[in-house]
Amino acid sequence: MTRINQFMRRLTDILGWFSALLVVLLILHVGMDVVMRTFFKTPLVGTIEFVSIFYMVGLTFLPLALAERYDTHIIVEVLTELMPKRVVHVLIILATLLIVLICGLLCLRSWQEAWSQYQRGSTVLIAGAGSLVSWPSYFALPVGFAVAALTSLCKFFCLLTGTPFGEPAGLPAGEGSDVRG
Amino acid sequence: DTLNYGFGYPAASTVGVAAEAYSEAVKDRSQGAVEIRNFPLSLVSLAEAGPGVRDGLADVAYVLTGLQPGDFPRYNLFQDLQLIVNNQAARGKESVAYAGAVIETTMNCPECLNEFIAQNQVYGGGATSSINMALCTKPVKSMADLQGKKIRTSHAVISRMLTDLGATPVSFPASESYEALSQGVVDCTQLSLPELTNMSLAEVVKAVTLDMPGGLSSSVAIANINLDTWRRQTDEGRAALLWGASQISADITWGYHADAKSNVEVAEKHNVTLLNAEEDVIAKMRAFAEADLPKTIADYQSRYNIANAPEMAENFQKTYTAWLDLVEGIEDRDALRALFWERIFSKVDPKTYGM
Amino acid sequence: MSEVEIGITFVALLFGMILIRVPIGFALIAVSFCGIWALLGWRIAWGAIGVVPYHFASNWVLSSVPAFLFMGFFCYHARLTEGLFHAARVWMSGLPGGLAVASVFGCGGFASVTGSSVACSAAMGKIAVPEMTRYGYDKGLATGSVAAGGTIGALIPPSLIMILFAVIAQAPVGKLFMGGLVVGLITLFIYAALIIIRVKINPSLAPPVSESYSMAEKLRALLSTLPVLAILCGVFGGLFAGVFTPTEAGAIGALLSMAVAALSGRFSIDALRKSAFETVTTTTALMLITIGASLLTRFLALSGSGQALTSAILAFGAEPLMIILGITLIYLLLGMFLEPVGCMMLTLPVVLPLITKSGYEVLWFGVFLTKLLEIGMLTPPIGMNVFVIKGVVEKDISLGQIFRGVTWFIVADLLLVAALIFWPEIVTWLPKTFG
Ligand code: NA
Ligand code: NA
Repeated sequence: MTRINQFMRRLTDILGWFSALLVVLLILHVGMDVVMRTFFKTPLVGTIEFVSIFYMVGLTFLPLALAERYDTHIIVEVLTELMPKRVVHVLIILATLLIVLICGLLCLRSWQEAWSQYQRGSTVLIAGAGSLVSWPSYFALPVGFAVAALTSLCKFFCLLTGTPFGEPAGLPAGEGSDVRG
Repeated sequence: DTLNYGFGYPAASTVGVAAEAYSEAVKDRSQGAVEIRNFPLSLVSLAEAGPGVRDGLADVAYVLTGLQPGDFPRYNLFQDLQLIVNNQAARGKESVAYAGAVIETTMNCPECLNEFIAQNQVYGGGATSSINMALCTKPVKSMADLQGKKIRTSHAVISRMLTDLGATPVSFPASESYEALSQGVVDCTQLSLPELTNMSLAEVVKAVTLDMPGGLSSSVAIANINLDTWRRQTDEGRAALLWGASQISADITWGYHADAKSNVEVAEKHNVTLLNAEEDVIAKMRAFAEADLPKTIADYQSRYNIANAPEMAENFQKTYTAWLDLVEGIEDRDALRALFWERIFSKVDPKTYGM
Repeated sequence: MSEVEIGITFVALLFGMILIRVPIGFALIAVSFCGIWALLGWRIAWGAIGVVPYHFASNWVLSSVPAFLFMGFFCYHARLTEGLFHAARVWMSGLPGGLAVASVFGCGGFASVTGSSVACSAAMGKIAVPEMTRYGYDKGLATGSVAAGGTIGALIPPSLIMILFAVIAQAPVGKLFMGGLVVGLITLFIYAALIIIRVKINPSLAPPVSESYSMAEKLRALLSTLPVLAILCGVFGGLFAGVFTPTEAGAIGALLSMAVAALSGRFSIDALRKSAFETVTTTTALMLITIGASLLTRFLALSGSGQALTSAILAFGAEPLMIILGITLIYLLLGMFLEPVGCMMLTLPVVLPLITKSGYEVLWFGVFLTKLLEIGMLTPPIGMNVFVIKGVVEKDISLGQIFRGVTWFIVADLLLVAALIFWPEIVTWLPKTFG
């Protein structure tokens, strides 16, 4: 269990690093477009398309497992705060199982879509000129959902067996105490 | 049978109003057997419409084919021929003729129709915007005015032409035009005149160049029907849907055409100057269009493997010329509905079309 | 079951799932998927979950949200904002709850550069909440004032909601913006007054500043605000000079914070890494919820529940006042579950004709509606502004605490809503005088 957990952690971190890179690139790309348009009268072609298709899609789906591992998905605890700990534990196990199912379903569905986009070699038109290959971005969904499903499955077994799952050490980039604050 | 029609426009817009009439037309014609339930904005966004109707999320949808260039290359080829509308003296109904030509050519082009079938939908009519203009915050009419002007555009071919004219094409969604113009992020936005009211642009636009950059938007399939839904219908049901398609194609096309005329008054009320580009600008635009056309066609041959792109383009241009004469006497929406029905949709066989 | 009954059943199911701790985003997706399945069959539900997530995420306008989140996180990690709050503390030591008041005004400032309240909360959350909790502010007050302050983002122009309303209702954007500016500023002052009154009554909410400062100390404190002022001037200046659009403002703000950090020697790779990672986990959690909410909108549209609710409530009376009260109720109810855009698209086709029929002005209604929809950003169970704050603050602050923290602000908002109904001139006066 620990070794599988270790492997999943590594996989999640890789996706996390990649997504973090996407955030920085998004900011640089948009900023560069503004600078080029304002000072050099030559806007970068296809910024909007690139940002929406690659950065936004990547940012939305690739870090899903990371959010699961660092427990940043948003939940309501108003009612469960009043419940006995054991009941809450069971509820968490059930919710985790539901996440496995949903992520699994979305993984299958988006894989279908990504594969068909790949086979058709999908592109989008760029308002500036020409076109941009868009099919690779579709693969962010099955990849993100698959790793999220596996991570949740891992969490599910950890919860059943009482093995620690979360990240006491905080985000891979941060120091212990500074995870969320 | 009730079919859900999703379109990414408000209920009160030209498309929304046409959709109401479409719903009624189909219901009447099928004697209540087929009903259309309209979903303005709420069911599928413009970006989702193509895949949405393919997967049945909507039974009927207003599809922007330009968003899927690889899936509908032939249909989009007609869009990229748009500069031909600039190349002769204006007769006033270019956009209406263009819509007729696009729909007729498509209906007589099995490969074009198969592009839609391959996306699990049948083609259910098309439409065009009115002529695109430059909606600017200051007058732009001469070559000198154009130099370095930042102009928002959404078409690659217009973008190339603007560069050729010395302007700087900029791209962002049309819906951000208001903000971008009012703040001065761009000097002009390329849109049709009805957007003066549709997007409230009359508040920020000071001058409209009526004949620059020209062209129009035609890469829309306004009422594509999910293939499974289509095949599930009876012959009578399909006949009613084709009838409806002729009506909505005419309604949207005529709607934009008429809105363009009524917006001339809106422009006057808001003190928006309407002006024409100077002759050397027009000459340069025409020269560009002629030089660019072969490149565009060659691009379709190589990029999308459409071997007969030159013949398609030539055929389309002939059809367009014919339609310029056909719409000469059309003075209202009902006449255009009748023309579209007689000339195009009545010739489509509901027993075999899309089956 | 009828279609409407299916709709209501599944919304109830959603409520239940959220209450038993199912992450909200997943609950929304599961319920919408099963709901569409029950309504129209497997094929269409399968289609919906294939089409919506990708196309919803690949959105240019939404890109300002991660950018503003990053800016907030980076300013925090590079310690650019400490000076600002120290100065606010020093200068506003006489004002009860001074930091919370300053935060609300900070939100007002960001409101004028971003078009959405989520972007506004994203930018301010990490900057303001940790500083307030550091000085011992009540966590509910600290988070509540920023979550509520964020709603000003959609009232003060630019505003995406008003632009969309203008397109749907064919109303003039410029006049809507003027009306929104007035209501936004009133909201700002009401929130500030509310904070001051609450802290006056219960000083433990915001410990008063006990030490007194000399003029030299005060001036030194002012100097330490320079980094943040430089960033803000860059963003405001650039926006009003037409250098970039509101969507681009987030990225520019993020770049400026990095530049200012570098110039003041506070840039570190560590801060960059932390900010990027926190942006990523927060973005994915928020996007998952908005995708789920978007799927829920389709489900409710297909089930006809939105329309059914609207007609049921409007059946109570035909007098203009009854209609307006009914409409207010509809948006408060739908606002609990739906985000503003989905809410408008679902209801406006039914509601707009009624507005004109009952003699209310469309211009007034656009601003009024924006205010109502923004209240929905704060109300449980789906309150996006609250979620954004939850995503950026310390983990030990629970969602319930934040929801409790915004309650007072919602009460104040409802009073303002009542005032807008009885004195519509509040909205229409400025656009009519200068429009
Ligand atoms: Na704003
Ligand atoms: Na809410």
